[in-house]
Amino acid sequence: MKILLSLLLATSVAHADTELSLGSTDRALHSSSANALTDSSLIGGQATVAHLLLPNVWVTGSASIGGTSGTMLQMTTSVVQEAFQAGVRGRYPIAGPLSAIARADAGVSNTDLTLDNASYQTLTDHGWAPLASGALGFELAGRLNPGIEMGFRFELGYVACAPVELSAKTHPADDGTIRLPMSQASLGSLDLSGKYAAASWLVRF
Amino acid sequence: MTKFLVFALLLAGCWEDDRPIAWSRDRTVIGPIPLKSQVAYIDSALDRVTIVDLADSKPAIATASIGRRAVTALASPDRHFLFVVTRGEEAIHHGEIDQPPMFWVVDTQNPKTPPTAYQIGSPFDRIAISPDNHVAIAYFSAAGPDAAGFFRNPNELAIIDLTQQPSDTNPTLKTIRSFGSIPEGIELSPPMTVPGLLDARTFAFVLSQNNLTVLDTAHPTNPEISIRLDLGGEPVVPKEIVFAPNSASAYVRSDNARDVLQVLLQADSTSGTNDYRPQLAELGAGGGPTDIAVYDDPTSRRYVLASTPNTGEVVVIDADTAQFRSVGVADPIDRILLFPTDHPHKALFASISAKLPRLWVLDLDNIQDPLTQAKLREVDLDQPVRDVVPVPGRALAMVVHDDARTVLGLLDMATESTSPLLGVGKLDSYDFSPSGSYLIGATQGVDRVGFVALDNLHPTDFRLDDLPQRVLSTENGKIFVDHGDPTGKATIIPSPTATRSDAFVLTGFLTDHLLDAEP
Repeated sequence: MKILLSLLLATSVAHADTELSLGSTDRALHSSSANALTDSSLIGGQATVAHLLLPNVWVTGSASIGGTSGTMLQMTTSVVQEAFQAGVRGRYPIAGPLSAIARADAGVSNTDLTLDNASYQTLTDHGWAPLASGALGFELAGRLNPGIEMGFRFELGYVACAPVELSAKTHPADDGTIRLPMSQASLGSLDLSGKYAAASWLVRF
Repeated sequence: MTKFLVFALLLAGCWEDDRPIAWSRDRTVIGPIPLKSQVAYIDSALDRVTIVDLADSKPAIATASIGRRAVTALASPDRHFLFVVTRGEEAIHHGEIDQPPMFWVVDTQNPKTPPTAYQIGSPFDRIAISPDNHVAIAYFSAAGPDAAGFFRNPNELAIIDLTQQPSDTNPTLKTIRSFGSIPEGIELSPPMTVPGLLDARTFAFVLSQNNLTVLDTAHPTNPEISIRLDLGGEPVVPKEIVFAPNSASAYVRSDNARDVLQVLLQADSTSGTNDYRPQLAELGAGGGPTDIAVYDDPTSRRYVLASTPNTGEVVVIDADTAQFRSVGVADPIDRILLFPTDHPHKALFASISAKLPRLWVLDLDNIQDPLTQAKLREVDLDQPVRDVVPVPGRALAMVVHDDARTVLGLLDMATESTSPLLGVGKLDSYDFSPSGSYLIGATQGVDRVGFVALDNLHPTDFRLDDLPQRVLSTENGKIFVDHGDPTGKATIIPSPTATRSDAFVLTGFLTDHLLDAEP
C-alpha cells in the first residue's frame, strides 16, 4: 500500500486528471425472472478508473461484481454477475466541494446461476450478455495536497441487462466414470435489470 | 438541482417490490404419468402440467397451466388426455387468490391447446373416466383430500360431460342416496345400448358397502337407482365389476356375497323419470366368489368365470342362461387371469392370499360342451405365489414369489412351464414393452435397469448414471427412467436393445422455462 501511495504521489501533477474509485452497489431486482430466484437485491462492489478527457468530462472503465441468494420452490438459489463497462461521466460543480454528476456506461456481463437442492442435483449455468447503465449523483471531493484529491460519491441509476438464456446443466463429479450424454432443458431468460444505488470512495491525482 | 433531488428520492422510494408468493409455496410433484408417447408431471407449486414428449429423437417439453394445488391426476384409458383435479385456493395471505376446485382436461396430443376447466364445487380427490373418454365423475375418497373446509359430503359426485364445454349445467353436482355408506369406487361402463332404447349410454356404477348405485350419465339429474346388497348378515362390499356392453349388463363381485350379481339393464317406460331399470340375477356361483373374469367365446356367447373357495370350485357361468359348470379345486383361488386377453383360450388361477406354491390352468375351449371334460391342470412351483401379472399381448404371466419382489418366474401359458428369474434387489418398478417383448425392471438402490427378453428369457441390463425411482415404457417403445429429482431428471433409452451410446440424460425438465413464467 505504501508503495502504491508513493507511486501515486510521485506521478501526481498539479491538475488531477486520473481517478481511481472503489465502492459498493445495491441493485433492486424487479424483473419476474429475478423475482423467481430471490427477493433480495444484488449487492456487490465495483472498481473504476477514470481519466479527464475535457474539463469536467471523464472517460471511465469499471469492473464490478455482485451477488444475491434466495430460495425458490424449496431450492437454494445463487446469482453472481460480473460486469465490465466503459463510459463517460460529467461533473457539474455546485458549491465548494459539492458537485453533481451524471454518467453513462456500456459493457458486457457474465451471469452465473446455481439452483441447489441438498438431496438432489445442483443445476448451474452462466451466460454473457451486454448491459448498459446510467446514473445521477453527487460527489464531495477535497484536495489533500496540490496533486491529490480525495472524495466520496453517491449515485442512483439504472442498469439495463439483456436477458441471458440459461439451461439446467448439471456437473457430476469427474471421477473417471463414463457418463451418458446430457440434454438440458432451458431454465429461461434471466433479466437482472434494475435500479441501483452506489457509494464509492475516490482518489484523483 | 431541485428536480435532481426529486428524481433521486423517487428512485430510492420504489426500491422494494412484492415477490409473487408462488416462488415460496410448498411443492408436490405428481407423476410421472405415462401417456401415449409422452410422460406427464403435475407441479402443485407452479400450477402447471409438464409433458415430456418422446416421439422424436430429441424430447420436446411442453407445459400447460392449470389451477391451484393439484390433488390428483389420471390419464384417459387411451392415454390421449390427462385429467387433473385442483383444490383451488382461498385468499388468506397477500398474493393468494380465490379459486374454486376445478377439473382440468389437458389434451396431451395438442399441448398448445389451453386445458379446459370445469368447476366442480368440491375438492374431490378421485376420478373415474369412461372408457370412451366422454364422461368423467369426480368424487371423494373415504378419507377425503385433506382436513380443510367445514363440511364435506362424501356422497357428492360431479358428473362431467367431457363432450360439452363447461356451463351452468355441466358438470352436474349430485348427491346419491347412501343408506349410511360412502362410495368406495366408481366404475363407468363403456357405451351400452339398452334394448328398447335408441342411444348408447354410459352408466355409472357406484360401489359402496351394502349398496350398488346405478346412474345414467346421459341424464345425470334423473334419480339414481340403488340396489341393496346386504342380506342382514356380514356387510356386503362390492369389489369388482365387469361389463358386457353387448348385453347391457354388468357383473358384480362382492366380498361376503353369496353369488356373482348380474345387473341387466332393461328399458322401462313405466317408472317415470328413468327410462331403464336394472334386472338383477344371482349367477349360481355359490359360496362367495373371490374373483371373477368375463370373456366371450368365438360364438359371442358370454361367460363369467368365478372362483368360490367356500365350495372348493371354480365356476363357468353362461351369462345368458345362468347355467353353470363347476370344476373342483381345493385351493382357495382368488386370482383369475385369461390368456390371451382378447379371445381367451385358457384361464390361470392363483391363490394369492394363501401364498400357495402352485397355479392351475383351465382350457376354455368348448367348456360348456357336456362331452368335454373340464379339468384343471396343476403347475407346481418351488416358491409361494405372491402375485401374478399378465404380460400384455403375450401368452405369458409374470409370477412374483416374495414380498420383496426379488424372485420372479415367468409362466409360458403355451407350454405351462415356468422359468425362474432372480433379481439383485427388490423390483420397485417395472413395466413391459408395448409389444410384450421385454420385461423392464428397476430397483431404487441399484443404478441399473434390467431387461428380460421374453422370447428367450435372456436378461440384460443397462448401467445408469443415477439411481432410478421409476421406470416406464411409452407406447413408442422408449424407456423413461425417472430419477426422482424435483427439477426433473430422467434417462431416456430408445429401446430395450439400445446401448449407452444411444441413450441420454435429460435434466431440468420440471424447471423448463421457469424464469419465463409469470406466476
